[in-house]
Amino acid sequence: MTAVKTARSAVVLAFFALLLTGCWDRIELNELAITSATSVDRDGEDWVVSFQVVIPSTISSGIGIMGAGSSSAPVIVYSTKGKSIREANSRSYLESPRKLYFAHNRIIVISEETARRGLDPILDVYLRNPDARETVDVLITRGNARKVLEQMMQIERIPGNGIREINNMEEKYLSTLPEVKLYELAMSLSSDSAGALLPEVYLSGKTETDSLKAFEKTTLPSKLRLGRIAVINKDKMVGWLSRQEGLGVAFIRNTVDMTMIAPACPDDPSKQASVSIGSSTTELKPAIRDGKLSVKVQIKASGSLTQIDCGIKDLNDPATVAALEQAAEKEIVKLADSGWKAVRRLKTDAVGFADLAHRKYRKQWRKWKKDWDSVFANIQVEIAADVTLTNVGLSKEPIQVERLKEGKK
Amino acid sequence: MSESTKSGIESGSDAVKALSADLDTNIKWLTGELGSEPDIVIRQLQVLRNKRAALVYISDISDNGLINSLVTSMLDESLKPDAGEFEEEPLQGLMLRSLSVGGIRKLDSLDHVLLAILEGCSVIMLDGFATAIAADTGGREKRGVEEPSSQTVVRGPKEGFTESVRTNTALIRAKIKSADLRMEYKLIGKRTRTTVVVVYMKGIADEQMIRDVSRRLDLIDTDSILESGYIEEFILGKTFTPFPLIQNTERPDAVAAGLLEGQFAIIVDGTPFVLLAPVTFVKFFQSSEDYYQRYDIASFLRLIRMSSFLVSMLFPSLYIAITTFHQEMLPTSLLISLAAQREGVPFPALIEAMIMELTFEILREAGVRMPRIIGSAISIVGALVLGQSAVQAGLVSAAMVIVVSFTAIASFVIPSVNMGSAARLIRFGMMFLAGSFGLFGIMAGLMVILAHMSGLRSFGVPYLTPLSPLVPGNLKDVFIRVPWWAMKKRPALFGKATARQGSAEPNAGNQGKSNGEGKGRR
Amino acid sequence: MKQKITSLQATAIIANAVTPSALMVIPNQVIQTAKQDGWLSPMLSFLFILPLLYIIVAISRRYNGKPLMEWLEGSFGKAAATGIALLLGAYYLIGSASIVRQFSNFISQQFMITTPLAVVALLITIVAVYICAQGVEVIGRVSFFVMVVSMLFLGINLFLLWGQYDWHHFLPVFETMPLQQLTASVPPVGWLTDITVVLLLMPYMKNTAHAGKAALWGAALASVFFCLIIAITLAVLGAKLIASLSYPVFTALGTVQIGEFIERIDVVLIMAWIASMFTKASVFVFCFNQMMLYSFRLRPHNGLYIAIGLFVAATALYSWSRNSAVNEYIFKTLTIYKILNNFTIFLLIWIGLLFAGRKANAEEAVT
Repeated sequence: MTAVKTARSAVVLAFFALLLTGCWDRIELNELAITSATSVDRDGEDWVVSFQVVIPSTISSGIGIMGAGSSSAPVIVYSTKGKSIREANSRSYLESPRKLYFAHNRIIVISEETARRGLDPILDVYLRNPDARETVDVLITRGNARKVLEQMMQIERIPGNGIREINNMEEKYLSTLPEVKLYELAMSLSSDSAGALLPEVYLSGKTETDSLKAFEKTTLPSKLRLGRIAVINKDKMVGWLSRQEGLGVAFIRNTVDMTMIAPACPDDPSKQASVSIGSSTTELKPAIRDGKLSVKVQIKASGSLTQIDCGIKDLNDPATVAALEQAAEKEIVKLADSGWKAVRRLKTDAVGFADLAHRKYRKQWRKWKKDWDSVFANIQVEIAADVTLTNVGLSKEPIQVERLKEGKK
Repeated sequence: MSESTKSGIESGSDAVKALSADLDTNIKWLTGELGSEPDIVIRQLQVLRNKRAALVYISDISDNGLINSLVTSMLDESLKPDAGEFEEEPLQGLMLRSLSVGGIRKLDSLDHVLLAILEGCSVIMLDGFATAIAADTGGREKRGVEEPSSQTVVRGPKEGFTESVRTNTALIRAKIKSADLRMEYKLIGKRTRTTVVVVYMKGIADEQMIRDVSRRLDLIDTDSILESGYIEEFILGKTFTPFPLIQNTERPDAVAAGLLEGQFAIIVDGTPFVLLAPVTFVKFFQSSEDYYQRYDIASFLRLIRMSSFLVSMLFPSLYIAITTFHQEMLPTSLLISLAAQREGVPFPALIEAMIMELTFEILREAGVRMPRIIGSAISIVGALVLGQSAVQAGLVSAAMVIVVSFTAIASFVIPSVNMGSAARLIRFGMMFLAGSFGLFGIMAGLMVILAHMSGLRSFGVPYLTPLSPLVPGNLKDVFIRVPWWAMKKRPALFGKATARQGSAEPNAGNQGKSNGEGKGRR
Repeated sequence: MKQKITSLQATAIIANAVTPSALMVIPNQVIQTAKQDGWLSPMLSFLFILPLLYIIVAISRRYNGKPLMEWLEGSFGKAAATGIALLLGAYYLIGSASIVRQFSNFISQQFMITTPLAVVALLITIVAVYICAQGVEVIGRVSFFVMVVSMLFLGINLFLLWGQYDWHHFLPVFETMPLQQLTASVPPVGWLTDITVVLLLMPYMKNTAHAGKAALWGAALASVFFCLIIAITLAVLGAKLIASLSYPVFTALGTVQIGEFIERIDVVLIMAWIASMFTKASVFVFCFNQMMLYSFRLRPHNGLYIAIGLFVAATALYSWSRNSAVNEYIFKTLTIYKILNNFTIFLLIWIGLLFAGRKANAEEAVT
């Protein structure tokens, strides 16, 4: 029994000795500089990393951006420079009273120049370090990326969060620009097609909204907007897609959740109807014709009519609806075609045809793999769309006052 | 009723001093032993015409009405015409004809006489005989049966145990009117000579276990037993654990339910807290009310109790671990508001939590100890001064006050006070682990606790039954309580689950369901 | 009092002795070679493990209920039994040390970057030795508990990851060459051979005839578990990215993001995993302890546990100079060592038993 006691007390003692020595990794909440957004610029061979750090006390006291007593800015932005990203990060200790904390980093904004020179170092930093989340949204901006971080936002108090929300909303309701998380970027760049799309964020307006003073008015001198779509090929940015082309690519990639298209009226091409696409699925059917790869893109979408300015009379007439559906199909095919042409122009397989080919034609793939770029350039693409209008809205004919007045059908 | 004194004498029969035939010698010896205190009455009287006799008792612990009628009956006897019939056998005569008391017995030694007097008996000694008669005239002031103060229920019986062992056994007998209900009496404590009763159901409780308990009780060598806590610690022996291995209750219905499940109860004279054993961990989360309320709400409440136990054990340590090691686990908005609250707080989270937890423990102890009248003062000081002002002064963060208060409230949800104290003790250890190693430390602590609990046994029953070792049949009454008609068998504490509901016919109210159940079962 | 465990508990111990440390490296090991067909490898491995299972069943049939070493001594003589005990002891020492080191590496890389490795390793060893010192019954109960909890947490995580799955990552199926597929199934075989702990558990089982069954179930559970884990990581991250990640399972879980609140819940699964890792370490320390007791004719003593704990912790800390060396060791050497050791020793015991049995029969026939 005494042996048991000795052993037990020894274990307990050793245990408490361990506890006394503990606390190496402990860090209190008020020793953290919570970073909500990061940006990466290049300055010659150096990396310039900027951080948007949240100031908790100004955010949580008071209601709304101009809440009582919070006259100071909710975030502070500062930049550090170094030969590598992590070196630049570490230089933050020279000027920050608190430890930079990245787990709540929501977005990373990359300048176009940086992206054109290669994204590998950024991917490496994020996948290697446990303190950085792989789930940050990646965005590209033209010019200086730091400028984006400095911009304040109207409704969201933390701009980094706000940009992510915009990106998220846009992807959900418009599907034109993809929301790309860092691990997704890494996944698509490491896949067979090695192409990826990134959304652009930019500053529209003349001056910058970097002071709270601007919020005293209802109109801001400048604001953040999502713009075009950057195309990345094997870790380097190669060009831009317009929003139209972006939507087309999204149709081919089957990433459209909800979107809005404006087909021309069947009777009068100068006027337009608006169709809100509620769901869309795309089937890609690869085939080999004369030794060449061809892909049949079959888009199946359904949506509802949300606005119409055509000369159509009765929307309850199946023939009218069919005509509208055809117009919408034509529009989608047009979009997808422009998207396909754009990625072919940029010689980047952002539509994932390589993975498709690999899955379907394993034998030929070994041959194609060596020279995918030329195979890709020669792919025959056939696009077909099938749109179902499930809903025409609450009025059964276009509202045109003139016609209503005369009361004629 | 007289069982207690009888067996008491038997068990304490190491005394050898025999009674003398001379009454005066005996009385002299007794006055020498007891002293001439005012409450000791030695009444000399003449019975059976011409026999000298003495009636000795302690007035304060005797029922004086009973003694009066005893004296009357003895004196009356000598006036009866046939009083001389028992000239040869006066003792026999007394016992057969003239003692108006239920429990009587013969005593042979002076020590037994002394003990009988101390237990509240009246001892009648006849001159010329070396045998005395003890009449059970015990009776003392006792509290009536009231509602239990520590284990209250909304629905269910409102009676609670009292300090008197006889009242307590009566309360149990009133619940279980079965010949299988057995009570073993023991006197423990050299000086206090406290009555201890082991109660069990023959045929349901494990015989081997009852023998074992009996043996362990006999081995207790102490001079005083003042509360059932003494017995609890003595029979558990050298088991080091913060977890209670014996349940205590003030409620006769809880004891009755326990007995019917195969537990045994130990009633100790002088305390309303009756011990129930063997117990398992989950038993401490069952309230007797669970079985009186509908099963759905009872199951829900039981889950709440179990989560409260976890909260009261782990919440402060989780808070420390997450805010000082794993901030990434918090949603951004929560992190920012917590960070804002911590601005300007001078202590690290661990110290802050320790200060607040200790403050709460002090407040709680003060609440128990202080006189009821000044109770409101402590709530004002506790709530206003320590809570609000400390936050306003920036000494602690508001979130920490919330954490500590929630933990405190959760610790009161656990029906058993001693399981609640286990959680309290463990909480502090966990806070240190969390402060040094974060969630990893908490996990290490939990593994040690789990291993410790797996190794515990309460009278041979593994503490974590029926979870691990898994006893599937018992799971009906662990996290949830299934309806009564589905609990066909007793929970098997010792691997024998006897049928609780013998009848093949299902209850009238739920014909359809239990028919299906019944088919599957048989 | 002789401690006894049920067959269910034995199964839990065996499954626990295989899965947790494998969970960290298996996806990486397998997918590097087998690419998107990695989920097939554990099934193949299970087939490879069947002969070992047969041997285990055969051995357990001949087991006579005596303490393990007495029984081996009775069959082979003292020297041979001591030899076996020493070999197994060395194996379990290395096993425990590599578990402790791998575990503490992970903890210090993921959570405790500045905490000295020694402190983490010591804490792990203390917990493992504590569980082990409570006896085999407690190991069984804890294992069972941990198994249930891990399954529950795994289920929750599977469900939460639902939005992240991309089934295209499995295509094209069966692309990997058979040879590569075979190579890829070697590491799981290595881990699966740890089902041989059943030999040391056998004397404690209530029903020794079920030892083979427990091993089979343990191996099956573990294989299914491997399959599931590989499939999840593949579905979430795709074959290419996994190959470059150290802990792909946890990276995959880290991608969960549902609304504003449910993020970074990988920590929850990591907690369940930590629990099973502690259990695994305790099982190996227990086996090591048993073998030491026999080889050096020691009596069970609580001081011995402290010594064994320190020995394991020291071996774990000083055998490998760098963390990368540990990975290298676990990826290559350990797999081979596990396969060689477990297969060889069990084959030898089996053959020995056959031989001894025949000899006994022959002697009986003579007399």
